[in-house]
Amino acid sequence: MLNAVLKHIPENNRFERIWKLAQVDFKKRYYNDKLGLIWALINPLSQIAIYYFVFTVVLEKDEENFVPFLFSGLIMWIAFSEATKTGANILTNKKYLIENIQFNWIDLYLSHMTSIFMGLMFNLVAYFGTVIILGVSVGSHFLLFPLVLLNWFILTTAVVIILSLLNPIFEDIKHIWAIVILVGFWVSGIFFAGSFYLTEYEWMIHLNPFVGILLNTRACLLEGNEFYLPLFIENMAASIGLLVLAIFLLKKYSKKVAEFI
Amino acid sequence: MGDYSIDIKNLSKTFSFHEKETSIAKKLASLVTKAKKNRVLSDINLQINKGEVIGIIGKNGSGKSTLLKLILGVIEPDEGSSMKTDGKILRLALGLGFDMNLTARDNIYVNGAILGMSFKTIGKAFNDIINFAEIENFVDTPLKFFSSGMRSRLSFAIAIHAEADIYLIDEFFGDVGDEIFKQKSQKAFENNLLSGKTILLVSHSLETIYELSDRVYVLKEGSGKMFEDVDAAIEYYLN
Repeated sequence: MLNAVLKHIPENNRFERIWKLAQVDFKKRYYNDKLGLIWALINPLSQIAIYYFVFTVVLEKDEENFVPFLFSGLIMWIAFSEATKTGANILTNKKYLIENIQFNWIDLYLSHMTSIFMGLMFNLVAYFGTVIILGVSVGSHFLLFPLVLLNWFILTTAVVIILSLLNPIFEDIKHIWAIVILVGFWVSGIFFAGSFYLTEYEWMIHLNPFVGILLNTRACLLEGNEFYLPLFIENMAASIGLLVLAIFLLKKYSKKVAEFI
Repeated sequence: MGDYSIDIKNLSKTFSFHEKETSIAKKLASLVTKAKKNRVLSDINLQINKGEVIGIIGKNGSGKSTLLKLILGVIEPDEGSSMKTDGKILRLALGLGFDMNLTARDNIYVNGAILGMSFKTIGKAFNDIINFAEIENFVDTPLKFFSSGMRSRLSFAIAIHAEADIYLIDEFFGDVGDEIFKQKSQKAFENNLLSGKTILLVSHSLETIYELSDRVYVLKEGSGKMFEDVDAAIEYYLN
């Protein structure tokens, strides 16, 4: 269907290149696997099963709709984690492009993020399937979800650009980032409701934009969750600010970084 | 720019680097110590007219690849260098971005898109590419099942359809298959790319340089000299 839509878009080599690279990246991730795309689904589902067991059986946490609660948080975090970890190596992996054609490096990031976004969309479809099976309603702010996704996209793109510029010069960054991702996994609100942060650790909400993204994701995707508009505005402003900084660094240092690739 | 396609004046390039340290203490120390410098190109002056084919020869480490990267704008020259280029530049290398797990069909679209072709153009050239590469029965076969000759033929067949004003061609005829295909490739190259396009041809094959170049630029230890006479250039290079 997407290809049918694309046929009607005016011919544009730049757009086509971004799309083709994204498509191939997405395909390559699952190409050699017997189960193919199913793995994109098995990964979050297996994590949900493990954490559901740990939290509800071992720790006896009693929360309503805990499965969709976990699911919605995990898919946003997994996409962020995958985008930033693989994105850190993007310049090295795409060296053949950088050294052979004239193009805007932004295209590399757009194709990478498009590929990650395709995986996220696939998981979101699985999420909606799950809530239908469980008989749970989506959130009352569902129509605001594209804005939350946009916020996620801007923040993730900015982080990917900065990491990818640092990685060729300071290779240790990938180890540091692995630790950040591990810590972020436990402090970004995948397992805890908004009230926990708002009453106990409000400062963390302002320090870590992902907390706000997850709170508002649930306001859109799961019934009974509140949408925090001031927090959304704050996160969006911070994400745009970070993206502006990332693009500035990219423009200023890309040719210097190219010497290290 | 006038009639110049590439106009380079006093171009130099110095790389700064730290030695690869093995101990943690030395690694940490390298964060604050001064980097070593290596001047790879020194005062290069090069004016290339539109439609000219310039052969570039030089031993390994003479600065050929650095010069191509500078012309393409991947890296920055030292301060005081001047470089102007006119038009879209493309570096043609065989197998650019080929993915062994993807089919020939997929690779044609990816490779073509990378080389600046629109999907429409690739679609029009698709059958020509397949026929030229002689892989009619393997269009939907992953490249990992291709012989190296088949991959080279496919790569060449796509590359000659690329669209640009200036081509930087790096060891293009190195491994395109048997003698018959080599002759076919050279003919296609002459028909498709030698038609008014500016070409910088880097090759260790003096035969290729001799046959295709209008002038030859010889790089020796970072410095360059232009020769109008191809024979004289080859003699200077060999001595």
